[in-house]
Amino acid sequence: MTLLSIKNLSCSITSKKEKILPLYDINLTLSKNETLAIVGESGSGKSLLCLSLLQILPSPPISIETGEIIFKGQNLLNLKDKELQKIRGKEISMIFQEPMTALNPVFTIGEQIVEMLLTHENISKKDALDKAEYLFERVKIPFAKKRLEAYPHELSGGMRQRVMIAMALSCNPLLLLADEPTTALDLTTQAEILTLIKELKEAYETTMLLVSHDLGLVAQYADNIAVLYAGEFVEKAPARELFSAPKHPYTQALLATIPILDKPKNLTAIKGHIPQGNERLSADILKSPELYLQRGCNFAPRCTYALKKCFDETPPLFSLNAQEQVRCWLHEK
Amino acid sequence: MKNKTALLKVSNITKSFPIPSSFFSAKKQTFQALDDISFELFEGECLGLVGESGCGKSTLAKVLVHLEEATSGKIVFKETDITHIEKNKLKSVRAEIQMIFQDPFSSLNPRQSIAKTIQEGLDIHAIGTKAWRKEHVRNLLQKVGLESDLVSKFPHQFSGGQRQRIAIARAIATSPKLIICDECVSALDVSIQAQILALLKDLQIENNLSYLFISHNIAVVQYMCDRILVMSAGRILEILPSANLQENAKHPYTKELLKAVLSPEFKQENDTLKKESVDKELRNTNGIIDTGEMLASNETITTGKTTNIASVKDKEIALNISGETAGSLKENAGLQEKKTENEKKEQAYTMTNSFACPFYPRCPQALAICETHVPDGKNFQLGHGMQTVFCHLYD
Ligand SMILES: Nc1ncnc2c1ncn2[C@@H]1O[C@H](COP(=O)(O)OP(=O)(O)OP(=O)(O)O)[C@@H](O)[C@H]1O
Ligand code: SF4
Ligand code: SF4
Ligand SMILES: [Mg+2]
Repeated sequence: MTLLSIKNLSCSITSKKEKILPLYDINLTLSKNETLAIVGESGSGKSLLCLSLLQILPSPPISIETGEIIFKGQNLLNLKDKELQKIRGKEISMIFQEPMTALNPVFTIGEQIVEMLLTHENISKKDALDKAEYLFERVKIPFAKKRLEAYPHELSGGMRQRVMIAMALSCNPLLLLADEPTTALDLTTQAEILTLIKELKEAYETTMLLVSHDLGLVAQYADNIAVLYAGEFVEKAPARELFSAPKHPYTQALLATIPILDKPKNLTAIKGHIPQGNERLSADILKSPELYLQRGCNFAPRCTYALKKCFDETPPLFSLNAQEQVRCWLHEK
Repeated sequence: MKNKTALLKVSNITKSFPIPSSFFSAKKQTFQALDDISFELFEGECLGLVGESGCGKSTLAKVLVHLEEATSGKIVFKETDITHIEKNKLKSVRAEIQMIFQDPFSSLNPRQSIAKTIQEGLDIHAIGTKAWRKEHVRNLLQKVGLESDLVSKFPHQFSGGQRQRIAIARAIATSPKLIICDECVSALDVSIQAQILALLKDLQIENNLSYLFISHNIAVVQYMCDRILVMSAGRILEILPSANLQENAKHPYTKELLKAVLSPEFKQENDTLKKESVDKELRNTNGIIDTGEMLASNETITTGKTTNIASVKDKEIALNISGETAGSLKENAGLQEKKTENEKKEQAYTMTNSFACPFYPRCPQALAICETHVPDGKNFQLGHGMQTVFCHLYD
């Protein structure tokens, strides 16, 4: 069953110099219970994708230009603020990279979680407090009751992330957006938190959009993976396929740059750098799509397989089968 | 490495910082950031240092380059004791021991041109003539893979990877023997990270450099290094050759760290098809857990933990949380108990550094002696190398 589908979503960033598209023509579907990972390097647009789902983009300078976000049959982009607020935090919730930015430093974490429960659920304050305590136990926060009285800065990074998870799960969301949920944490804490998220996700039957730059992480925790490069999907595949037989030259190159524990290999660096500034897609293409078609593959300057065609014509996403899609001329059918 | 000459020999280094007295009690307390650190770094070697945040990696780096002074112990560099070196001699040591930091932006002066930044060390140490220095800077830029005519540009005009190249150029400008790399690729994207690692490897061979390579990323450390130091809570727990870590690691803490490494490979056991576990079948559809079913499931899932599930269960039903399962509930309750126990121990530890083995609060194999007696280092021959383990299991 499809829970979420994003169709032709494009966002723009307007600056004095130019107007670019940090996300262009994003299409994806998430089925119930699925964990879909979005991977990409810094600036590829992962966080913007999450923020546009919740429509909490910093606007200006960023705005959604085109597309639909269909959640449970309705287009979120057509909803009024009030209706959206009901969905945010209740049916769709989010875990951020740095929990400190999402928690209010002047309120105790108990106050914050109770507040959240009271907004979304029709329960008494006493019940909300009980539930908050229960949730803290659920995310394995020791001394749960006492910890409710703590202020965010009094907790360790790992504990804060647990609080975030408790809050994100407090209203039984159907969809959980996790943007780099463990990047700020230590290795062993990361492992604990990831196991916790996975366990809770399974118990609560939550669907998850997991955003990460860490291919190791998504290999272990995602069912399906979509690789984002400079605002466009270049490959979508089940985790098994993506790691055993990556199809897109960028995915292949990315995997070749990462050392693997106890499997010595020579690392091959990718030459050049990610498109930046005016190398990014200009918003002009929204008005004249033929400009987009002539731009060429955006990985071409760094690709070892690039042909002349790659610089002159933009490859579409080719479907290899029901599950795998690749944006590369080498896979043209 | 046939005949190993120690370039750097660190013996029993400690470093303590005072804790503000209001924190715990009126009594003056100190926090032991480094506790009895001893190791050797050989000429031409890349020695890795891994450990979690706050374990003292960066403090050790700073002590080695004299940005912090050791409280006690001895540092010998090229057979000279540099532990308490006079100010005027410090300069020459600094030329030979350089450092590259994690964040290339904050470590570069934003108001200084690239030329000036790289040349600074040469100026301070008065190396070469003015004309030579200028030429040298251009060569260095080329060496780190940047256009030599970028010299007049400023740090903000470069990307993260380029800035790290500049920091590397600055570090090698004075022809050092040893470079301490503190998380120097951690802030970079993986595609850039590999470029920088390759550059460091090339420079090492070309200039017969040694590195102390500090990172939380064990796979990267393994890729770069010959041997690895594993550190926790200010102490070295294990020193071992970097090959086949999973097979060779002996210390329970090292094993725990290695278990947490996430490899970019597909593992069969993560396949969704396999996830048809007992609890899924027992899941209730309307969100309220049926007590009868819970008891049944309790029988099917043996956890062996003796926690009173009834209270949790009541709460569960009262709060009407959907999708909960008896099995995981019970298990969690058990884990909870263990965790709380550990948390108490850890808290006690962080306040006083009171455990003889830093891993004691979390160690699954801990013995009674581990709480009170500091384990000695035991040596093991491993291939051509030597492994040292600080753990009572190997007494
Ligand atoms: N508030 C903003 N104003 C202007 N540009 C922005 C803003 N936020 C993001 N961007 C730009 O949008 C693009 C995508 O950013 P986004 O934060 O989604 O990247 P990301 O993939 O999440 O990267 P990271 O891995 O670093 O978190 C980048 O080019 C970024 O510079
Ligand atoms: S389309 Fe061409 S340039 Fe782009 S990834 Fe494929 S081969 Fe490389
Ligand atoms: S010394 Fe004891 S507590 Fe420490 S790692 Fe070894 S067995 Fe565990
Ligand atoms: Mg981001």
